[in-house]
Amino acid sequence: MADGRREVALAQLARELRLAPAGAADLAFLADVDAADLDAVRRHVVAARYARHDHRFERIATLTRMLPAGLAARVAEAALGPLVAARTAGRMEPTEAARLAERLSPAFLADVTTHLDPARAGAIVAALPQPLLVEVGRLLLARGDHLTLGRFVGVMPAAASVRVVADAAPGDLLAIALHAEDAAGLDEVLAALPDTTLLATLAAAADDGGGAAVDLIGLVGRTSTVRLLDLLPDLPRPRQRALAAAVVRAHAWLHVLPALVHVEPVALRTLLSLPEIADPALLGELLGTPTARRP
Amino acid sequence: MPGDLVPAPQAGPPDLPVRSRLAGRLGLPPAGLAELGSLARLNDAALERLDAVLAAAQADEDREVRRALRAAVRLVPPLLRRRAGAALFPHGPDRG
Repeated sequence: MADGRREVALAQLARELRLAPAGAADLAFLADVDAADLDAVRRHVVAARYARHDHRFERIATLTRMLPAGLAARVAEAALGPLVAARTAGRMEPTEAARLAERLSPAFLADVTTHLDPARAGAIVAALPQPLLVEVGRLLLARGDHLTLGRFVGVMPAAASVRVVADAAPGDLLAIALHAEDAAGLDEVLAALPDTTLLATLAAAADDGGGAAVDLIGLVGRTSTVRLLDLLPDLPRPRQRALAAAVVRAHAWLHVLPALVHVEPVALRTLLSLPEIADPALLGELLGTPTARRP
Repeated sequence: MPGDLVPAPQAGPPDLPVRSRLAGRLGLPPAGLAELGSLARLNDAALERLDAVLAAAQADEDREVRRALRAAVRLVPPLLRRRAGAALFPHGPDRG
């Protein structure tokens, strides 16, 4: 589980360091840095980059105030570019930034979004009309930018996020979820998705070895974990086994065991019927009574 | 360098030990890397590489900001250009 989270943290840091999309490989020398510290480094990188030119972004914000809105939008798209426009948005009043954003093309807004710090953009996003958020979100989805979409889970209203991923492929949904930084926001989105979508997502994870489903369970809250486990009986047996094997491999019991008290009896029976789980040595280990593994 | 709108990417004197230099670049006090647990345990060679990547990112952003400021003034209609220039370059056109 830690490896999946670490991979995500490394990709997010690579993005902040302006490395190419495959740039996480250029950070191989950070192999011994854990996910939490990679996240902390990224937060410092973001803060340092904002602070470095903050007074200049403030001046650009002043300039946009003295221009008619249409011209300000043209300056943003044709002169500032997405990076500087994103930084400048952080120095504007949210309503002012939102009014300007509504005059920008959705494609440019999608570019800007990749440079926005979600922690600073919440008020602006809240002031934008939902149809525009959905349009920009779908553009990012079409570009395969799961990282940006994941970072905005919890910042975008859940209803908008659900509309963005309504027709997404299960693998896309999983990738976005794994890049989410706001666990409560992710729970809210998952709660609004139908069982069929979650089932398809679990199936995609199972077909890919199951590790991503384990990572997902590590991210979400108890209610979402219980719901995902309750869906287990609806999956074909090979996929059930793939997911169970991934849980065993990752020792993800810290997240799974507390949820078992709340799952439906049929889901519990399904889980316990899987050979990966119904292993006396494993059960003994979980119950604190180690049993010799069969040869 | 005269005429530069933004500072050079180096956050501190280049002869600073890499830990202090990287901390400065991250906006931390000189001993601030210690709060970054497993990162602080990296050897100096790895920290030098991180410092170089971060310096390059900052230099890229410096260039981008410089380009954007100049392009923004050019795009403003002549009637407003003087005011726009004064807003973006309050200390003169060569000093950002």
